[in-house]
Amino acid sequence: MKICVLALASVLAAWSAAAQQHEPARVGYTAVQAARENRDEPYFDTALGDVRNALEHLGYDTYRYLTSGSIRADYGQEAELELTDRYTLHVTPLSKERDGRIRAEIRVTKQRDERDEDGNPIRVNALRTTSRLVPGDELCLGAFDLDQGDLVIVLVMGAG
Amino acid sequence: MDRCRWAKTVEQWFDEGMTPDTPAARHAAQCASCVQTLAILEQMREGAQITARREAISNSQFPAFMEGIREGIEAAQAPAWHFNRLWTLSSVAAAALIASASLFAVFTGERGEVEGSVVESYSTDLENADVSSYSTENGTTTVWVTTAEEDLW
Repeated sequence: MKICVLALASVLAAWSAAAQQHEPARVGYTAVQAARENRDEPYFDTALGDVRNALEHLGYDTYRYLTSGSIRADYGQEAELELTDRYTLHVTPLSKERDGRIRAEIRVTKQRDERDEDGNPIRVNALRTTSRLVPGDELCLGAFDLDQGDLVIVLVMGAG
Repeated sequence: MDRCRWAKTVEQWFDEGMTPDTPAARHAAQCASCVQTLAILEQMREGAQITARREAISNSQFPAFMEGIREGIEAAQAPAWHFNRLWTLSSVAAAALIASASLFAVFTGERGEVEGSVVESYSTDLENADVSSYSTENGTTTVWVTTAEEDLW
């Protein structure tokens, strides 16, 4: 009886470990407008407190919060996140590595002013990268022309 | 050799200290069988005296002596089923541990040490733009697009 209970517990534990492989990945993002305004001290919007460390090395002196969010993305499925009226972030979790890192394809697309024959806006890949990310570590993407500054995106991935 | 009918009397005379000038003493002096019996009895007495030598326990040996007695008492009091059950539980626990470790290794694989985030590839479709990648000391990985001229699109 005891052996049966232990065997069942072992199977459940193994099933749980295997199930974690298929849990959606969590994608956290923060969009920032970075600019150089000749300040004596760098300025960070208060909403950027969590990502300030990831931005400080970029060399701008002004960092303004644009938008942020967190979504769950299934492996193999592209999640589309509109950041501004021109830029969209696309994240496709590809696999979860044995060491815990999440392999993902990340694109930042930019909408052109022109439209195609059907009148739809034309989008191009401003950046396309495939990376293996340590859950919780920040990936900084930039710099994309935006008004009087640059768009910078801080991306964090984790288990769903 | 046949046993002499005086044998029991002679044995008793031997046990009582072999008093001289008694009927048993006089008979023993004449009977070859009883002489042989007395010789055997004498050998047995000497042997018994050797083995009967008592070991003395000194004061310094007494604690160890008592410890040995206590261990003997406790071992005698411990029920056999207790050890059997302990062995059974230990065996089941060890088997479960091995099974769990094996299943965990099979389903999760060996995990190496995570060095950090790695950028495998990067590119851009923007004209006159380059992409580079680097990591900072605080663990932030950066993929950066540098546009040499104003983006034509």
